[in-house]
Amino acid sequence: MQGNFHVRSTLLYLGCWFFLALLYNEVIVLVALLVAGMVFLGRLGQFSSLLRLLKVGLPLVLLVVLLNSLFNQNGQQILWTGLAGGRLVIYREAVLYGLVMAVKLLLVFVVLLLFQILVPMDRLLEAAGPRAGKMVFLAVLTTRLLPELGRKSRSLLEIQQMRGCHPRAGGKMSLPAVGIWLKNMLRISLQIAFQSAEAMQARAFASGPRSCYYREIWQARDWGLVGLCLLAAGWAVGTVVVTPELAQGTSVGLTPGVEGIMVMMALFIVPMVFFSPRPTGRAHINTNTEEGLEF
Amino acid sequence: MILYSLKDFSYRYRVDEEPALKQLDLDIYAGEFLLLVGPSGSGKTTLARALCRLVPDFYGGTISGEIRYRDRLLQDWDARSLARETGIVFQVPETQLFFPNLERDIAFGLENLGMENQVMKRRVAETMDFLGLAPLRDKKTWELSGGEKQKVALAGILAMRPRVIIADEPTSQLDPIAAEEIITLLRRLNQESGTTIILVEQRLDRCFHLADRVVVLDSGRVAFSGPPSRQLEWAVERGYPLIPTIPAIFANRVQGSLPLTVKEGRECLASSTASLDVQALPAVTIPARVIGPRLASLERVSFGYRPKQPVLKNVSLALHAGEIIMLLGANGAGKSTLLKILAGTLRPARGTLWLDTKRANGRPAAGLVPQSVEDFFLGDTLEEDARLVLDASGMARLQTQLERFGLEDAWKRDPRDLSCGEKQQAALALTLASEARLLLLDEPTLGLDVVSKDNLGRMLQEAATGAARTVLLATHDMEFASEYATRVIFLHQGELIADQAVEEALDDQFFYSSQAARLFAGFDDRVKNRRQARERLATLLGRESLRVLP
Repeated sequence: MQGNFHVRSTLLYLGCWFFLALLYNEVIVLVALLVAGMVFLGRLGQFSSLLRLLKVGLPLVLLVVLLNSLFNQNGQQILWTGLAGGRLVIYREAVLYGLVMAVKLLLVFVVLLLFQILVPMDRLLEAAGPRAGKMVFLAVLTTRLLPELGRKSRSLLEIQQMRGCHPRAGGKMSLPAVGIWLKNMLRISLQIAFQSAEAMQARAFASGPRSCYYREIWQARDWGLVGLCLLAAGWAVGTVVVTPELAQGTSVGLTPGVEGIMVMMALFIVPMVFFSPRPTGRAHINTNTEEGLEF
Repeated sequence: MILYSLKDFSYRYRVDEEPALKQLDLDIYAGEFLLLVGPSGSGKTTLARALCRLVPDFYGGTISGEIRYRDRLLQDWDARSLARETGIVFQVPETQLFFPNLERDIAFGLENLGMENQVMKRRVAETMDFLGLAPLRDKKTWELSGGEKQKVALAGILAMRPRVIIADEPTSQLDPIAAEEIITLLRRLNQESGTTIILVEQRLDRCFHLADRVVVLDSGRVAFSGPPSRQLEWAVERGYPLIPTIPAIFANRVQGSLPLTVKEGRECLASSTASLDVQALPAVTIPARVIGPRLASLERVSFGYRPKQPVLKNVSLALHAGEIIMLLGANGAGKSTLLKILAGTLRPARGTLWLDTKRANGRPAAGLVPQSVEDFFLGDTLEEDARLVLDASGMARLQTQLERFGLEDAWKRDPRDLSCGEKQQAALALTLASEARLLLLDEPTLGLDVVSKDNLGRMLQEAATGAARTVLLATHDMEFASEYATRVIFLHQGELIADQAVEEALDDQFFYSSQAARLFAGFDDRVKNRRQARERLATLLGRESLRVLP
C-alpha cells in the first residue's frame, strides 16, 4: 500500500490540494501550500523528483511573471515606465498577479507530482473498482510496458549503431535511420502487445464480469481525512466565494480573513505526516536483462 | 483418469500452408508430469497452445479432429471454466506481468474469474507463501530478476488453482540456478497437489528424470510417447539426438537401462571402474588451439547505468584471435554490458577499451548478436536487411555464408519467421559477412535444440579456426561451454572473478559445471565434456559394455 490512507481518501486529499491551489489567490496562502507540498515530497523521499520538477518548472514560472509584468496593463501603482517612448508601463499589481500565477502554477505541478507518486496506476485501478473501464486498464498496462519499450528502443538503437545503420549527421540520426528505427519499434511494440494479449487471454481476461482485488482497507483515519478535506474546501468556498473581501487581494500583509485561512491550511497540511514514504532500499537493477535499469 | 484426449487432431496457422500439428492421437492423464520434447519447429508450442485453446481461439487458423478435456470437447468449454482448469506459463516472463505491483499481478486472473475479494486475498497470500514471494511484495514487477518474474507469472496461474499447468520453455531465459528453482517448483506442484504438469523444454538435463512420460514431437506428429527409460531406448536405437547428456554419454555402452542422472551414472561407473587406475590412463584429447594476436582488450573498465550502481567493476582482460571464450555468470552479473562495451555501443565510465581497428581496415571490428536475436534484424527480408548494411562484396560474402549454413532459401524470407536455430545462423552469417573479427554473441543457445546447438558450435569453431577471429559469447549453457569453449571468463556482480582455460575453469564447480564433469568428478577429473566422457568410456571399456547394477 502506498501511504497509510486508502487510495480514495488519498485521491480526495490531493484533489482538495488542487482545488485550493486554483481557488485561492492570496500569495501567502499559496506560498504556504507550496512549501508544504515541497516538504511533503521530501517526506516521501522524492527530493530528486522535486529538483527535476523545479528545473523544468522555474523557467516557466519566470516566463509567467515576465509576460504578466510586460503585458498586463491592469493596475494603478506604476513601478516603472520606459522604452518605446515611455509606452511600456509596469504596474505593481501586474507584477504581483504574475507572482501569484507563477506560485499557483508551481503548486499545481507539485500536486500533480504528488499524485503521480501517491497514486500509481495500479492504485488508480483499485480506486476505479470492478467497473474500471478499458481505458483505465490500458493506462495501467501502458505504465507497465513503457519501461520495457524504453529498453527495447535503446537496444534497437544500439543494434543499429553496431550494424552501421545509424549514420549521424550533426549529432542527429539520419532520416532513413529514423525510419528503420520507427518501423522496427512498431514491429516490436506489436509483438509485445500480441504476447501480452495472449497471456491475458490465458488468464481469463474478458471471459465475463470482473471483480476487483482490494488490498486497501478503509479505516477511521480515512473518514478523518475526508472530513478535513470537506472542511478545508468548505472554508475556502466560504472565504473566497461568499465573503471574498476577507480573502481577495494582492496585499502581502495579513488580514483577519487570511489569518483564518492560514490556520485552516495549517490544519489541512497536517495529515501529510501520516503518509508513508515509498518503500525504498531495493536495488532498481533489472537483473534479467543486465543492461536494463529502471529509467 | 484421462484428462486430455486428442483424436486425429490437426491444426494449421492462418498464414501457413503446412499444418503445424498433423493427425495427433494422444492421451494425457490426470496427475502426470509430461515432458514434451522435439526439435525446433516440431509443433511443441502449438500443441501447448492447443491444449488451453489459445489455438485456434487467439491465433485463428483451421483445426480438424478433436481434443476432449475431461470427456468434453474442448471447444464446448466456456472460456472462464477452461481458464479455471488450465493455466499456461510462457517463455518470456516480461509479457506475462501486467501490473507494477506484484500482489495485484497475481490477483489478475482471479479478478477475471470474478472472485470474491476475501477468496482472492487468501489465494494470493497462500500462493505467495508457497512460492516464497512474500519478501518481494514491495518490489515493482520490473525490479524483479528473470527467475523472480517467472515465479510471479507462475504464481498468477497457480492462484487460479488449475488442474493442469502447461509450461512452455519456462526456463529458457533463466540462469541455471533460477531454472532449477522453477523446475523444482513444478515438480513440487505435481507431487504435493497432484497438478498435471505439461512441460515443454529443450534443456533436458534438468527435467528428463522428473517426467512420468516423454512425448516426442517431430514435424507436427507424435513420434514417441512413453516413460523416459523407454524413450531413451527408442532414441538410441534410432540415433535420435534429443536425449539428455548422461544417457547420451552411456548410449550403446551399457546393458540394460541407461542411467538418467549424474547419480545413476556415477553408480554405473563405480561398479565398473573399481579395479582400474583411471588416473594412469592417457589424458583425454584436447583439440590443438592456435592463438593469434590480441584483437581487443579491456584495462580496468568500470561501467554503470546509474551513479553509484556499477554494473562492471575494474574488468581487465585481453581477447586473442582463435579463442572461443564463454562468459559465465548469473543474470545481472554484467555479461551483456561487457559485450556491449566490446561492441562499442556503450562507453566505459572508467578504464580503457582497445580494439584492433587497424586490421579491420575500416570494417567493423566487432559484431554483436543480441540475446533476443529477432531484434538483430532490421529489414523485412534477409536480402533487405543485408542491403541496409553491406556493400556489393559484403553481399557476395553473405551469399557464401548462407550457402555454407544451408540457408540459401531464406534470402527472400522474413528472418523473424525462421526457426530459432536458423535465426541464429542468419545473424551469424550477416556478422561474418560484415568481416567483424570479434564475434560477440549473447545467449545464442537460448531456445535451440541439441542438433541446432551442435551446428552453431561447429560454425563458431570454423569462424575461429586459423586464428581468423575471436568468439566471445555469454551463456548459461554449461554443456555448450564445456564442449566448445577454449577459455572461460566468470563474472560475479560486475567483477571478473575467474579467467581460465576451460579445463581449469570447470574444476571444483558445482552449479557452473557440465554434466560430464560432474559424472567423472573423482573418477577422472580431466573429463569436462560429453565428447571427452564418451572417449574416456571407450578407453575404459574397449569393446565391452558397462554392467548396470540392479
